[in-house]
Amino acid sequence: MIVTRFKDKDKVLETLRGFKKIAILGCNICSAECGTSGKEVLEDYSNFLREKGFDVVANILIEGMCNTLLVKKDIKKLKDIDYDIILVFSCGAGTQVTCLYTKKPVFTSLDTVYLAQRQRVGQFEESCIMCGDCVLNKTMGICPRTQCSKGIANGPCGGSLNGKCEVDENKDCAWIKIYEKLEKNESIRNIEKSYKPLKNINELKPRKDKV
Amino acid sequence: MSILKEIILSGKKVLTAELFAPKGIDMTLISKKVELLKHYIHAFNVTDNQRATMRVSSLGLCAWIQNNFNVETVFQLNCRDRNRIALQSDLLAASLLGIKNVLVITGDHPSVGDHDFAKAVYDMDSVQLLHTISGLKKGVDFSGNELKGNPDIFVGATANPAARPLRPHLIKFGKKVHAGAEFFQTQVVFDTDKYIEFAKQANEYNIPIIAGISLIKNVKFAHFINKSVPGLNVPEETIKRLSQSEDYKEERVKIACEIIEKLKPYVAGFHFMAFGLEREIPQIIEKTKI
Repeated sequence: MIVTRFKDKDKVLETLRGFKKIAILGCNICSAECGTSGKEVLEDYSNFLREKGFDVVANILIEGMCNTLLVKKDIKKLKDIDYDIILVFSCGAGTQVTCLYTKKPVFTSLDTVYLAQRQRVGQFEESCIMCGDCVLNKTMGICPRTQCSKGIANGPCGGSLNGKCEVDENKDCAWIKIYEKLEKNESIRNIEKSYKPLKNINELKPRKDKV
Repeated sequence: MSILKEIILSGKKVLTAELFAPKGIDMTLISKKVELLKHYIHAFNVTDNQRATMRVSSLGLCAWIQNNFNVETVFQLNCRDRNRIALQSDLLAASLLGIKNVLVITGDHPSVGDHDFAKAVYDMDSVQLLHTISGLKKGVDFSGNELKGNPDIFVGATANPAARPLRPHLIKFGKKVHAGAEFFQTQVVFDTDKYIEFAKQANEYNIPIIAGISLIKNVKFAHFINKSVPGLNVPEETIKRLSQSEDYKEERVKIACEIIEKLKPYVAGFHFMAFGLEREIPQIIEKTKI
């Protein structure tokens, strides 16, 4: 899932300055999962905006705002509503999809941060940097590009001390974890060869696929 | 040929000293250090935005020192601040400027430095950069394009003998040798037993290793290092000796000399990281007769 975080509310208010009638669209998948969207969140935020003097004229929850077809369908609910702008509660993809289907300004109240595993309710950890060149088959399912602070490919750096990372003494060194797991499985040879620098991460953006 | 390489090949102990590049372009202090040490050591090793703090670049300062003092330098090239184009380009520039040695390093993470949110590049890691430099020396860049005029540079890499578990670090050490490292410079050594355990295995690669030697100013500085220098840990035993000795200034020199004596059979030379105590390096060199 994609983890999003709330932007600072004052920053959002600054963005909204000069507008009056606000239509809110929120995603009911990832953002709802991490508490930055969903029925209650949208209602609370609507009340907050009303307290600040705005008119919240619509409040719509969509089952996946990265899905262009769903957004196109649900945004029709705004057809007969008079609104100045749309305020989105979803990842950056949802915000950009919304822009495709309205001529009015679209703003987001969230920052999109990473692709995560959900560990329990409200607790997430980054799990993949989407590098396009997966090495998990060689590293026993521990991703060095995500777990290592430097994302390096050929083993621990000089800052790895007693299995901990130079960035934070409580953070495990990803490469020591990989090594220990490979050793248990008698597969150390996997990291004895040198890995080349990434290629796919530098593909021309935006990356596209048609399947 | 690089003097560093010549001395290593001759079998004599090679001596280098680290210079922290200054923040700003006032070269008064660094000039004093170079003047003080240039008759005692073979080359000056200049840090490259160490601890991810922004300073004069290693490349620029190496060239400046060579031009002004007629001494040899070791250019530290970190993977944190440059992509594969800049890494190769700076390496070529170094060779053009007459720099004969390079030390390839990963580079401390920006979060430990003074520009927290600087974009960390790490487009290549140290092993990949060593492979790339080997190619440049043969006249081919990373993408396989031919060079007109190959760089002639003696290439080193780093190792941390105190890092445990040791084996994953030794695997990387082996990769660096395979990728073209011609010498190694280690992190500061405090624990000689750990070093010897490391050296017994690392020396199987038959590659010169220069051991890092430090002077720890006082107990307070030891705690500072443990807190803020990645990969470096002053052992409790050393801190205790400094705090209990009658003359800590004498004690810190004594500690350094003892480490050197113990390491002599295992190393190609010594690299001094004096942390502001450069004036004490000559007496260490004299006392240990290196």
